[in-house]
Amino acid sequence: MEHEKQGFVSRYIFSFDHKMIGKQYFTLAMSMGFIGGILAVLIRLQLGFPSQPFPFLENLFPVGMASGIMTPEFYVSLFTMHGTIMVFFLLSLLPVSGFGNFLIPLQIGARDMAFPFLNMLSFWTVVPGAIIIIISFFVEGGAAASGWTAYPPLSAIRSAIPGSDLGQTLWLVGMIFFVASFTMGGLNFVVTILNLRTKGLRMMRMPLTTWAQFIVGILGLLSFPALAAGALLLTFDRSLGTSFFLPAGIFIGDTLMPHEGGTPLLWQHLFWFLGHPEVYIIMLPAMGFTSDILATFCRRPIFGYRSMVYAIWAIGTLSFLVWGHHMFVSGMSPFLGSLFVVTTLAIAIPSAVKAFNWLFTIARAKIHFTSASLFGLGVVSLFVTGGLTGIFLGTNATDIQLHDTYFVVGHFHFIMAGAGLFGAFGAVYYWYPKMFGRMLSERLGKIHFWITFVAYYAVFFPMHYLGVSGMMRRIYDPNVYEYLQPLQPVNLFITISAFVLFAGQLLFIYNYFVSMRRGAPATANPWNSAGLEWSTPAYPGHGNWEGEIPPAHRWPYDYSEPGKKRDFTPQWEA
Amino acid sequence: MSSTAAGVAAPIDAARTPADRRHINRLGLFVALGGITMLFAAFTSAYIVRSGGGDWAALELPPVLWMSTALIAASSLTLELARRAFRRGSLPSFRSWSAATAALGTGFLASQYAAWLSLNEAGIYLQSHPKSSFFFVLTGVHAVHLLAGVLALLALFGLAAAGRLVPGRSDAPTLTAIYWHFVGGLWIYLLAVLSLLG
Amino acid sequence: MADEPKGSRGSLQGIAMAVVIWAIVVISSLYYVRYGVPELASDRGYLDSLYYVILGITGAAYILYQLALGYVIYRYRGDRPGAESSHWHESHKLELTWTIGTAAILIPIVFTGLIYWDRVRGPAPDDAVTVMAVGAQFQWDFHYPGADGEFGRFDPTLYAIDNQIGLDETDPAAADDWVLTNQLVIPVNRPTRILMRSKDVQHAIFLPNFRVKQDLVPGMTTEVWFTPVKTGSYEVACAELCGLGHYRMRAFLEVMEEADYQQWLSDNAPAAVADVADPAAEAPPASAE
Repeated sequence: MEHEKQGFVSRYIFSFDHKMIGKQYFTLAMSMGFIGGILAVLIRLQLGFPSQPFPFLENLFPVGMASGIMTPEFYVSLFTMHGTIMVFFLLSLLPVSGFGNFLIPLQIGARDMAFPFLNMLSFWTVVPGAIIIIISFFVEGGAAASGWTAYPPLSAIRSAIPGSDLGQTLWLVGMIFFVASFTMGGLNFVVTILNLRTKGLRMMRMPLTTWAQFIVGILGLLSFPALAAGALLLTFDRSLGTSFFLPAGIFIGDTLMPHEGGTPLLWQHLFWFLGHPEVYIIMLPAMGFTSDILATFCRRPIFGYRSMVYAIWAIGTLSFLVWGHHMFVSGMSPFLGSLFVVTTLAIAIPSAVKAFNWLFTIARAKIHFTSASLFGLGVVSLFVTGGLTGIFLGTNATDIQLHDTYFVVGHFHFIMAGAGLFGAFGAVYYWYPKMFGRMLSERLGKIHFWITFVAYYAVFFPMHYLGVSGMMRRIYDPNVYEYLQPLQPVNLFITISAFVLFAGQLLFIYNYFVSMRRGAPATANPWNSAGLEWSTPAYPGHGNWEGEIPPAHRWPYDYSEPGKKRDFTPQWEA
Repeated sequence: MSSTAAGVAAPIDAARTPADRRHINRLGLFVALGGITMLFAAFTSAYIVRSGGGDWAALELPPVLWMSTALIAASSLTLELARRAFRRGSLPSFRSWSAATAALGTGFLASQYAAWLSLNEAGIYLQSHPKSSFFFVLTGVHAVHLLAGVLALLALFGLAAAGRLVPGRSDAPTLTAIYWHFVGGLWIYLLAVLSLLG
Repeated sequence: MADEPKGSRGSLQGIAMAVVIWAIVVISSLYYVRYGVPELASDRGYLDSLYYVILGITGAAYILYQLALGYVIYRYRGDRPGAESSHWHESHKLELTWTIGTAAILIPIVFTGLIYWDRVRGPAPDDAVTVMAVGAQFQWDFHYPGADGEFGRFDPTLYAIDNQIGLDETDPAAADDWVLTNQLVIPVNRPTRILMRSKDVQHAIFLPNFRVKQDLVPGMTTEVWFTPVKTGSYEVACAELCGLGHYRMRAFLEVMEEADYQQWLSDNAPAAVADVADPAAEAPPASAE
């Protein structure tokens, strides 16, 4: 009895096994994502039916929706926390911390990550962060309400908005936990990939997923410290009377603040120095998943592997040089603005390389339609749609009109959230057999895909119409403005589509948890993939391979070689 | 390698050889130092931006900082001596030198604390003006990193006392030394920033 | 083990995918045309032209790429007769083509954007009507400098119910200054220069019909200039999250014919001056201590 109990704790809770830690991240990220989704539904409820009473919601949110009508401060908290939760706790935790931990050792032929203890520590550091973020909804004043970007003075002065009091404090504490966890993870990724590749696995033989995680590890290590520095300075401004970000003469609630000489733009620079690499931290793994999935199900080598690797490098490097494109109209020097245009639009070039390489991977293929490959194809479509709208925003002259409108919201929900989410879904469908030794239901998976794909376009494409028509983001009720009133039908359409989109995700959650027990047992390599991770047993245990770790004789994309009997040659076969 | 047995408590070392492990640990440390460097790079750029503000005022650095500097420089020296002793296999000598290093490190922290107090006595506090804010933030964050180094030294001392450090095999002294020299170098850098910029 | 991965090669999914992607392209593009930018009332039409040029290029790329994607999915679905996949995976010529092609399309966009940016952000002409926008949770105050064309000093300690912008009346330049709340009136066909500052948090002035947007940053004075070319009444919005009332931080911009504007000035400005000189305003209320 005693022994068994200990076994449970060390296996499922304080596990050192990278696969279990990966799965722990999945559970955490999906729970957070579910909450973030509910917040999105509430946001859309208000925009679709502005200020209409929904009395039953009063029971759930007695303060934020007293008598069933949402208060503006609750609305602001909702989108602030929706952004925070989705960007950090779903889209970073699931593809990076979750899949990074789960896949890297399997794909490079290692028994575990380089620092298993650090790995466990990193998971148990982010858990309190997530709990604090959720708890912040229940403190007086409600959750943080300065947007996920937390621009001071709104985030720095406690009386600026109810959420800027305790809620913002908890937000900062939660984020510091997240940053600590994420940088530990990044360190582990980089060292593991550099040192623990199996024999024969040269860097240029690594799967693109691992390449992406490698660059992501570097990006996280170099960019998150800037957020940590900013968060520390902001905390001092909030609590200890310093003036890093706060100038003289701020007058809020009939009180003149004692600050002196600081500049809010400094926060924006620090925040976006993290914030933009963060976008690629989310997207690069999705690009990697998509490449691996497409190769497998197209039964073709990924087209232009070399340029795909260079593109990841180029995107990762450029991501540190573009942060100012979030600040074209911020009062930053116009000359700097021009520099950032050049670097920003330069990112379009490696992105186009990716898009065309995918297209040519699909061409001349023999596509097998599985839930995974459908989501992979979905990424390609969303990535191009979202990437193209970025050109309007990266060009400072056209950004003037579109900045801070729904055009931006539509843009990043396609390129970052959409491609990131679809990539993660595809990855779950693809690697689930390795995760649990069972198959997900393909039928449910396909229904999930079709609902998600169509609803995703239905929700986020019309947001471009709203933005072009001039609808600002982060507004509680667009109908205050006469020129926005004709857009109400669009908002209603988006809201209804969003409900459908959310409902579709319940299918996924059901499939994910039920298949763990009831799914058909998986074989070791159910998709006939060539990647090294498929040389492990159907349900690999701690240590991954039972005997010797197989060496890598080739790259992971040897599909349909002419003259071979089978249409794939596994990486571990000579 | 037991595959699916429940309750595999111990972590599996993915390194194939001890040399591998040593290499991995060192690389891990260097990568971590890269992250710390970025943290201070961010602070430095904030410092430079903020020093352009109209209310920026010069701050006379407390002279006791020179003592801090001397202490931290001496500590790097003693730690090198400790490491040499360790390489020679002379554990008692190693223990004394690493204890001396920890003591010098603690002395550095005390000296930094004295610097804060002397500023306070002169009526300069964290929130007095931007340069004083940065002074306290930079020295404070640096002190936290140095404190971690002192703790590592104490752990090293404890390991040595317990006979768990094996000359020629254990790499912990070198890792600690790399970290320690880095934090020492960081202090010189911060001192240069604080006295030369603004 | 079979040579095929589990999962359907079925044409249904492939055909459906192609049809859905094509349908999305057609529907989304058709609707795009129905939602244009708000009616233009300033001289910044060139920004619209650039917008339409980029829309043309990206729109074409969007349509072509997605159509092609749908096509290859349809064409190369696994169960087509004689399905065979190719090992071909490298073509430097092709890859170079789309790398250089993308760059070639982007470079003119970048340069045009930069040239227009300079035009927008260049110094305002000397004859511009200058107004100071003062943003606060959640209202706009437009501070007119009066006949002397000079703004009186402001002092944050003077912020009060009847002195929203904290005007220091001991400054001679303040004598003829006056303030409009949530309303800005400017003459048509003359450049308008809006200086701006914020009393509390960040705001952004957004004039959707004028292609103007600029953040108001506490501690800084930012500015923007443009020339209205159409008379009428337009809405002014706040575009940067500024608190719970962000959504209702609205003002009106009135563009008048020059003659009407002068008439309006002589009707309104003096009254405003008298207002400021009102002795009641000189006794600061307790909150301004």
